[in-house]
Amino acid sequence: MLTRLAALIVKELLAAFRDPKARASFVIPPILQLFLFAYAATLEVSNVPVGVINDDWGTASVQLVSRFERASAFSEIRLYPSVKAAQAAIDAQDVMAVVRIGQDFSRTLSAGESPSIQVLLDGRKSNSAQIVNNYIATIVAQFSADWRLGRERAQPTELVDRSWYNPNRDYQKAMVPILIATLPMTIVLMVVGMSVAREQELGTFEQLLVSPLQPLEIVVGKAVPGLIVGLAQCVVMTLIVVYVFAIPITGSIAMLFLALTVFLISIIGVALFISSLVSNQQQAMMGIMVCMMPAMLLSGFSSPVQNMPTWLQPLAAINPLTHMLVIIRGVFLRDMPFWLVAERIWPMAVMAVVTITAAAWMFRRKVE
Amino acid sequence: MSDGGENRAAAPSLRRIRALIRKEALQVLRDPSSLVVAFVLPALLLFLFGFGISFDATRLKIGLVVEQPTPDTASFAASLSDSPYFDVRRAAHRQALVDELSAGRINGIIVLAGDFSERLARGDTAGIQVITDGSDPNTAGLATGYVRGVWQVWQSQRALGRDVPQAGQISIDARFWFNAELESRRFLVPGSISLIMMMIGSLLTALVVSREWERGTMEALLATPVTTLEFIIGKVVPNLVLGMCAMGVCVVTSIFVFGIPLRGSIVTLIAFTGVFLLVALGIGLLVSTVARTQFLASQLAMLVAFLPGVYLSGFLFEVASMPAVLRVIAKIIPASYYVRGLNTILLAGDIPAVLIPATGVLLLMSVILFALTILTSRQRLD
Repeated sequence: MLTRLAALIVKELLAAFRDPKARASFVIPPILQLFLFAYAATLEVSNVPVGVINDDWGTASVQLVSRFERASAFSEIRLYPSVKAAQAAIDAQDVMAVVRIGQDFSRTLSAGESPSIQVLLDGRKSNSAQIVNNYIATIVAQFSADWRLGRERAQPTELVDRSWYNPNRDYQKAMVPILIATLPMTIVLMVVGMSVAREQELGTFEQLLVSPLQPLEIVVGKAVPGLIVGLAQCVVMTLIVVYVFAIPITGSIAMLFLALTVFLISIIGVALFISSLVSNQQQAMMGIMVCMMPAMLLSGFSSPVQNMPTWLQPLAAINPLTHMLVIIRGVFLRDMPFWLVAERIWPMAVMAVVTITAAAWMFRRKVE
Repeated sequence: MSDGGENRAAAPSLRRIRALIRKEALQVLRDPSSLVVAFVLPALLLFLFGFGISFDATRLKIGLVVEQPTPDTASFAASLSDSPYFDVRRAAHRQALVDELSAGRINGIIVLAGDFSERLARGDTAGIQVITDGSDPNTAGLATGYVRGVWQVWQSQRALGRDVPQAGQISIDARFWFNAELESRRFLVPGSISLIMMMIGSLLTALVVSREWERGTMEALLATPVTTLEFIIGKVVPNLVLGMCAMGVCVVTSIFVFGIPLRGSIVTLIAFTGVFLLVALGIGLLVSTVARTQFLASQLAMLVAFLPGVYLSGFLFEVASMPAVLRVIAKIIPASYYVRGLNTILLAGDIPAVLIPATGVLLLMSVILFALTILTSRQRLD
C-alpha cells in the first residue's frame, strides 16, 4: 500500500513540475505580487493635491494657507477663485478636498471670536477623504493653538497616544507578513484544484479511480505536491519578509510553521472538495475563484473582521485564512503566546479534517 | 495552412461569424457553469463584498484601566461608555488587558494612572494614556481619533462654567460630497463590481480559448476558412453578452440591496461598461493565445488582470500614496480607469471631465489588445 501511495505521489510530483511554464508560475507570480503588494497596500494618504478658496485678504488666512503648503502629506496647494471652479475640480477628481476660508476669517480671529472654515471633500472615496479631513483638522488645530499661545494657562489633561507592536503604525509591517499565507493559498488552490479537474476532463481520473488505489490514497497523492509547493513558498516568503523587508518574527517560528502546515492542509481539502464537484477545468477555476475571493476579503485581509455584520461573522470564523492571519500578525508583531496560537490552530484543523474527509467521500461515491 | 493566407486576407464573412457566434452561444448555454458565472456569481460576490468589506469601525473594543477610581475617572469612563463607537471593557490592572490586546481581542487600552485625580486637583496636566494595536494601523488611527473626540468633549464639559478662554478656536465645517453618510460601502461596491467584471471578462475568455488549444479543437477550427478576425468576433460577442448580463445583476444588486444611487444615466453606464468589457475580453484573448493550457492561462489572467485590479486600481488603496513606479503602472491598468468612471457614474453623475478621457483610454487599450491578439495568433499559425 505504501509503495502504491509512493508511486502515486511521484507521478503527481512529475505532473506538477514537468512543464517549465507551470514551474515558472510557482515562482514568478508570488514574488511579483509580494513586491507589488508591499508597496501598494497602504491606506495612508500622502502626496495628494488640495484646493484652497481664500476669500479673505487678511494676514491670518495667508499664514494658514502657508501652513497647508508646508504640510508633507499634500503634494501641492491649488488656489481656486470661486466655489464653482473648486466644484469642477472635485468633480473631475483633480483634488480630493478644498478648504474654503470666508471673507471675515482674519477679522473674526483678531476680534477674539471663533471663525469657521469650510472643507469640501470628495465622498466617492470616503476613507481617503476622511484621512485628508483629519490632516486638515490637525493643521488648523495647531494653527489655532499657536494663535492662542500665551493667552492661556496649561491644559488640565492631555492625551498620550502610543501604538504597541508597531509604534509608527507602519502599513508595510502590518500587511507584508500576511502574504506568507495568502500567496501560497492561491497557488495551492490552483495546483491541487486544477490537477484533479484536468484529469477528470481528460478522462484519466477514471483510470485512477478504477486502479487499486483507495479514495483516501488518491486524496493524499493529490495533496502532497500541493503541500510541498505551498510550504516551499511559505519558507521563501518568510525569508524575504524577514531579510528584505526587515520585519522580525517576535514569536515562535516553530508555531508559525505548524500553523501554516495545518492551514495549507485545510486549503488543499477545500481545493479537493471543489474539484470533486466539477467536471472540467473551467468549472474548477470558477469554483476556486468563488471560494478564494470571499476567503481573501472576509478574513481581515483588507478590512477588520469586527467591522462585518454579525450574520457574516460565522463565515469569517470557518474561514481558515481568518485564523491564519491572526496567527501571522500575532507571531510577527505581537509576540503571541503559545496557548493563544494553539487556540487559533484547532479551528483550521477541524476545517482540514472536514474538507479532506468530504473530498475522499465524494471520490468514493464516483467509484460506486 | 499553405492556402490560409488567401482566406485570411479576405473580408470577414457575416455568415461565418454568425455560425461561430452560434457555436459559442450553444457552448455557453450547454455548460451550466457559464450561466452561474453570469447570474449567480456576480450577485453572490457583490453581496459578500458589500457587507464584508468595511472600513467603518462602529464598535471598537476598548479596555479601560482605572488604577484609582475617583469621581473624575468615573465621569471620563461614563463619557467613553456613552460613545456609540466604543464597547468598553473595564479592568483594575493593565496585565489583565495586555493579553487580550496580544490575542487581538481588543483594539486598544486606555489607562488612567493612580495619580490622575491628584494631578488634576494640583493643577498639573494629568495624562490619559491611549495604547492602540499598531498591527492594524487603520483601526489604530480611527481608535485614537475617536478617543480624542470623546476626550475633547469631556474636557470642554469639565471646563464649562470655569474660566477657560475659547477665543481663537477655529471650527471646521466638513462637507462630504456624493457620500454624506461616509459609508465606505459606497465606494467599495463600485470597486467590487469592477473586480467581478474583470474576472468574468478576462478569466472566462482566457479559459474558453485556451481550452480549444488544449483539446486540439483549435487546429480543427484553423483548418476551416475562418479568419483570425472572424474567430475573435465569434468569441467576443457571446462573452460580451454574458458580461453585460453579469453587469445588469451587479447594478440591480447595488441599487436595491446596498442603496447605491445611480446618479448618471443608464445609457452612459452601459456604454462605459461595454468598453471596459472589450478591454477585459481583449486581455483574456491575448493571454490565451500566449498560454495554451487552461492552467497557465488562468494563472496569467490572474496575474495581469485580477491582481492589479485589486491593488492598483485605487479601489482599496490610494494610488497617489504609492511609489512613483507603481503610479506609472497604475496608469496602464484598465481597472483604474473603470473604477474612476464607475464611481462617478454611480455616485456623482455623468461628468464628462472624468468619463471622456477614461473612455478614450479604454478604447485605445482595447484596440491595442485586439491588434496584439491578431498578430500573435498569426505568428502561432505560420
